[in-house]
Amino acid sequence: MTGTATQGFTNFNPSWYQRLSNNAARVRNTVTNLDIAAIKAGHKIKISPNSHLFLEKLSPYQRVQITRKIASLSPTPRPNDASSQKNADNIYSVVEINTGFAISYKVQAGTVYILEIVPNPKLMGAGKELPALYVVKRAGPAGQWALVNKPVESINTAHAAINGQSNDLDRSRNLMGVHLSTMFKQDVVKEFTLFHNPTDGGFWDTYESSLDKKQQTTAVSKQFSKVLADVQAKGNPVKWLAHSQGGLIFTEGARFHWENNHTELTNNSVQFNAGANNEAITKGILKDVKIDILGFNNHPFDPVPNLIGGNAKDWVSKLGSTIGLFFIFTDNPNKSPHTLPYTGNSSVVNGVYDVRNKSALVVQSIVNSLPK
Amino acid sequence: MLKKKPSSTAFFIALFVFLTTIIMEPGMATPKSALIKLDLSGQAISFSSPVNYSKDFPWPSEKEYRINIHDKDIYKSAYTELENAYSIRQSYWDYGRGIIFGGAKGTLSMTMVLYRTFDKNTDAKNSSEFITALQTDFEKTYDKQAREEFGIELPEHYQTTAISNLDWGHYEYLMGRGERHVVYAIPVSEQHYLMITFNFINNSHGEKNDWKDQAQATVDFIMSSFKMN
Repeated sequence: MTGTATQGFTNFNPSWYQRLSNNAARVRNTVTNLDIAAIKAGHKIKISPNSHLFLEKLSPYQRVQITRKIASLSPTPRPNDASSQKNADNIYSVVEINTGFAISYKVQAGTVYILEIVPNPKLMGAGKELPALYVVKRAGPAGQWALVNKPVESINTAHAAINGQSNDLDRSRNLMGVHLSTMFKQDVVKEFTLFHNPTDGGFWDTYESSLDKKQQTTAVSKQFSKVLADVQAKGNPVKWLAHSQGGLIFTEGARFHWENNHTELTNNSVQFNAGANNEAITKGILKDVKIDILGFNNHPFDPVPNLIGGNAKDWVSKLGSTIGLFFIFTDNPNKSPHTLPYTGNSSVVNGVYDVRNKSALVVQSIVNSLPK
Repeated sequence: MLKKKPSSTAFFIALFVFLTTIIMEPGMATPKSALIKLDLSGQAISFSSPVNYSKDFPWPSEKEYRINIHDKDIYKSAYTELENAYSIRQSYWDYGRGIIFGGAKGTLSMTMVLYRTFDKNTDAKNSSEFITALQTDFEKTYDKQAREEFGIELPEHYQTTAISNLDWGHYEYLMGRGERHVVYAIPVSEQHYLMITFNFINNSHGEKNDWKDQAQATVDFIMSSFKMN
């Protein structure tokens, strides 16, 4: 949309788009009155309905960055980095460099009208990614996972996956391929659909996770809920693999769907690997929408499912996961309990539980030998 | 004058960083390597593989492989329709991992495949025929449909390159959104060759990082360590 009609435009309120929890706002210093004050002093800003809806669909990080850029147009509506549109008076475009989104706008009678916000095609592929569905297939001499060139609108494969945090599209396709082929070995998975949960960096991904954890549905979870509903509507069963943050998005997407539609999602089933979601809460939510849980596969010492998800089965797991917290940040594959599909074959875990069991037997035999 | 108390959050962050630092292995900056040996129907090949593998992907524990290259059954795969390639080994390394947040900035994968030439009349021991076979095999493995589907660009050059007294067939191609694939191949019989593909998987979220230089150093280290008897 590059037309100049401005019917339906509403006042632009930065604090609405920048809304963050108090703690996150304090850390990132995002919500201040400075932007709002600048708008009151400079040009008014009005935003098109489509741009408003588009901003609502973005991640917290993207919303904050783009909102700041828009707010900066109030005192300086024609900044040095703005390019004017050919054959159109007073229509400009600026790029928000942190996210790669281009904002086109019109300046007229002391008002900046935000016309459209679009991903900058020149920056796509460099990490400026949006949540989307992609088909991934085995290809080449070793059957490596390869991405089919363009995103798809719906799922037409028997398997699908949603990735966790800190993974760009290309790494996700490989990592989720490994998880799927490990967990569904008997299915001989040759292709799957990836719902790519893009990353905005560790801080923002973690913040996003905390929102879904508190059932404050994020944009990516809302989008994912539509994918689950679409699978149901199409009628073909899909086995999902949800990894780490993907477990939270899956659960919250299903809960959001139930809250708004009260319909079942029986064509979806899911395997959670190292999910940050709580098993008891997940079971309750997925029981409502009748999604089969194929399993929870967690390393007993992985802090993500055991501490963040609150799924530790016993005190050994709690202690091991607390120690494991320090190891998930290391590069050592023999020590880190997170991310790699857990096969149940860890000598460390087996050794610790062996010691625990033997100790319990010794204590029990001492107790038994005491005079009654 | 009242002294400001340090916040408990700052204390825990400092404790966390301290413990993380002491738990990380001091020798991580200079990764150790393992000697990997292959016996391909009597043709002995060895190379060194850094053992600081990615913690996110499965890593190979085998160090010795004995393969009968004339066994037709090994070239069949449950995953692809190709009957010319036998996947021997796949390994991954991560680069630029942040201490607390952010994950790796990039991943290098190394795929080692035993290839049987599509053209049965090829003499892979002949240098020029080998280069032609590499081109033929690439274009048959990734036919026009596959190249369009996965966004694969044909290699610009197929050439011979000498590394540590071994002559390798070599080419590069881009895939998808510009993912770089670097291929080295060396004949082990008239119709068989060993192919190594290094795949540079970007995970930098668009940030500038030198992970590709570090990954290239791993490639150079591995390739210069190859020995063939």
